[in-house]
Amino acid sequence: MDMGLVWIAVSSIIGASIAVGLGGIGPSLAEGMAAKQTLASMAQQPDEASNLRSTLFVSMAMLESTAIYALLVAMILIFSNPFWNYAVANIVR
Amino acid sequence: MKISPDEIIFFQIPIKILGKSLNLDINMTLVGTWLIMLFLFFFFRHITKNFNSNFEMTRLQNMVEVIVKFLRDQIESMMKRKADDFVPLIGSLFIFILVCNWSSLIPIPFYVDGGLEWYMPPTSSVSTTAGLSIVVMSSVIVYGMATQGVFGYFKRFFEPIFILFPLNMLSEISSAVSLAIRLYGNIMSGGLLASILFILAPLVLPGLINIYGLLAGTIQPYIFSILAMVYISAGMGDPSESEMEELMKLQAGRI
Repeated sequence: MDMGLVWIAVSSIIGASIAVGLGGIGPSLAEGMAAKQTLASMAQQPDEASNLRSTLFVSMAMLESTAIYALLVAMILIFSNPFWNYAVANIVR
Repeated sequence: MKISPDEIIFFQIPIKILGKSLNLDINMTLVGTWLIMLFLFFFFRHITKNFNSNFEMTRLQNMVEVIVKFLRDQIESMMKRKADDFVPLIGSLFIFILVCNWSSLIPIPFYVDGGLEWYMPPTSSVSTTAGLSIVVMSSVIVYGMATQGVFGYFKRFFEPIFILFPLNMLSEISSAVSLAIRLYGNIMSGGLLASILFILAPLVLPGLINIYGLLAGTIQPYIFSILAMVYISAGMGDPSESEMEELMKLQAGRI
């Protein structure tokens, strides 16, 4: 096996791990803040609870999509890395 | 491990476009979409055949009325316009995505080229969600031009000043892409997580993750339709005074 392929594999796995790890920090902090604020508002105004809950769900899903983008990049790196196919086609003839 | 229903190919149809010969794949995405379309068509046809306006109604009619009323309330509170123009589009998107996501819990075996393949929901393929997002974005243009005229619609891209035209264009394109990727990523990651946990701890965890997947599969169509409403109403501009008054009268008359 060629060293180029090994380097591509190693770097894509490390890149995928870093993408998911760092990409998870921001959205989780943001979701925590959103949930905290919504819980405080629900405690203050229980009448508005249903309205707040639906808004919370929507904003949670929007925030979560940032983490999903990071996951998607990681999945592309691992499962369908474009450079891997290029290297396999050109190095291993 | 197959992560996309595009990879399960039933058969290929050779076609010729512009002199190039291509293979049209009939894959799990298409077959799943057709199955769900058939199911929705016959199911709702069966329900709406026996509609009546009495107090004694069938249970299925009650269910449909709850869904439609929920959608109408959401549209009127979100878009501040009469719901009649939007219920067909938003409602079909909502129900189609909802049924797609929930269908991932039903294991349907298919025999493809002598091997056993399991059913995957069409929304876990990026081609389905991109198609839905294209539908939403083209209806933004259609609704915007219908209310404001062609020039009135394109004026939106040159506001507040004309230098910002590329940025406005970019935000339009990125909203379309994010609409597609959000739905795809959520559904795909749910299925992937379940299959990875099935390798690690096959007894309890996949079931729990599937329950979470059911929750996400219920919220995602809601988000998708809410965002479609937001984009469409942004493309249509602010509702006029007469429209607002008409809506207020309608809502007052309903109570």
